[in-house]
Amino acid sequence: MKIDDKQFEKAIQSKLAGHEADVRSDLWAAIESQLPRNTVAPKVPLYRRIIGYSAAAVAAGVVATVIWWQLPEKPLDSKVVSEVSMPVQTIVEPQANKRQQLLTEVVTPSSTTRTVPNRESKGNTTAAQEPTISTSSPTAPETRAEEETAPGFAQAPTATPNSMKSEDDYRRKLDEFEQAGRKLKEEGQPTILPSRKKSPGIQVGLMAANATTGKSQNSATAIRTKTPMLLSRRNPVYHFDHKMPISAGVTVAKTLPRNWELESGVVYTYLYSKYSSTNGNGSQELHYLGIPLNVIYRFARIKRLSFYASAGGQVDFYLAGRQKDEGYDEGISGSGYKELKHENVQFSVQANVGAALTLYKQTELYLEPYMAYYFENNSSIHNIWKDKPFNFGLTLGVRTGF
Amino acid sequence: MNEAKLIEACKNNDARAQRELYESFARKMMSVCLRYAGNREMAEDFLQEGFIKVFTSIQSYNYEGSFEGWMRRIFVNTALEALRKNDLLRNGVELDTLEPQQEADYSAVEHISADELMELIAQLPPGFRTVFNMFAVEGYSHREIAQALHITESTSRSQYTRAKRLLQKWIKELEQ
Repeated sequence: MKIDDKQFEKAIQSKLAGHEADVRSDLWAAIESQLPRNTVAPKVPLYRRIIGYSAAAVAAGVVATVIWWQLPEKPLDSKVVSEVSMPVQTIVEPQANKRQQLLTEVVTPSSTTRTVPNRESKGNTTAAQEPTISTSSPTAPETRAEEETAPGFAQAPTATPNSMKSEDDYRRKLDEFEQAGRKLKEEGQPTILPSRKKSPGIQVGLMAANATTGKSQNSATAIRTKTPMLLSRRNPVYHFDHKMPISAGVTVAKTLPRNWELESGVVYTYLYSKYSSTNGNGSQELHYLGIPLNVIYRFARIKRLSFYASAGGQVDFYLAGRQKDEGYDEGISGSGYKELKHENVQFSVQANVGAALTLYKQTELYLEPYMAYYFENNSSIHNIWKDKPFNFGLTLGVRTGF
Repeated sequence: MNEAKLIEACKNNDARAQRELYESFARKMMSVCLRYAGNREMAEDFLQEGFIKVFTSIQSYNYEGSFEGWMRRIFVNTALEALRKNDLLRNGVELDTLEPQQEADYSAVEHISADELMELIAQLPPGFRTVFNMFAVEGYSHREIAQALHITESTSRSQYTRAKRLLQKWIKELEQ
């Protein structure tokens, strides 16, 4: 049978009408991952999702903590700890100008020579009049070898010298020392503190939502604890080595028009530090709960990959904290715990750029370099935010939307 | 869920509705993609890209014409874009390689299955296959094909003719 072209086309159309071909079963997942976010209420109740994501966040936090604990600990820098000696020997033989003697010798370290300019009586000491640092210790008397050493210089001594004739005499010298220190501070004299150890700059954290990480080492500073009576006389000097913060949290992003999103949630942060002091070594643990609020703008999207910039702030509420001394000074708590009090909230701002890879539906894996600034909150507790307020870092996490 | 409700739900980015719509049309649209792609791997790429376009542009569907027809046009356009992008439409068969024009006997089409016809169409060179699909199956005019493929109408006609002759030859071989 011969048919014309029209009939041929009709024959082809009728033959192929309704023709179907098999489709690979996993093709939908690939399509779905690239579809816009769902704005319809989820099928699973919200509370169950929150529980699920919280569990995932906690699991991620636990994994990160375990990994962190497995990392070899960095030994404390004993050089920094012993950089500055206490003014014990300098007040054994009071000079005519005791205050000046204190000023010039108190800050003279035993292992490194550090002097403070002497405005009143230049040339009275063998130390240079401008701050100098050398490897030798020309101004340190021989008796320095017997001194106790501690990081920081403007602190009270922690041990009474053998040569002190009486407790009252020691107290009097101590008062003079403190007054001299205050005067020095008021006059704006340059102070020499142990140099900070430079942060690596890039830190990696594992978390279920967004969180900040960081690592820093602070200068020698004092902290206050719940033992004011002891500290009033024997305020120990601490040198901190802050470990990388670990954060885990749950964030929710609300999609706004024109590629904007608003993100918030809760983020738990664990800060851990090692410290050394004249009372011995110890560790400090701090727990915070933060509420971030970020605005995200997605400026590019290539299939499953999207790029965005975000900026916002976070307020962290102090939950708990404690110190554990492993010290040798029986006057403190030995190896016991000291609870830390802290009422001030911690505000911070941060800006990120990031790339996100859609894994499934609205769940995406993101990697975002960030810079953050933590505002001074006048807290008595030293942590990495206080000692290194401006941070750069890298966040790796998983974000999901509802 | 009827089609109108399904479409409305998809316009609201309802994931369940999107899945249902996909399952309703995926096999049909895969057939369209296979006809243009010539191989399964490329057809799956067309299918994936096409459905993403369907869901991201479903807001523009205003119920004029059938929804399946609207979808089909999206998949055809997706395939054409990809073929153009990869410069596959230039691949044809030289006139010399074809046998002299014979009297057409298309009755053999009635005697082969749809799957066999699909396989034969897939063996056509991309340029021929595209024109053949657009003209014989989708019902585009040669003018529309010329505009879509950036070729002349005469080129479209000649390619369609050659495609028919090739198919006729292969169908005869299949019957023997």
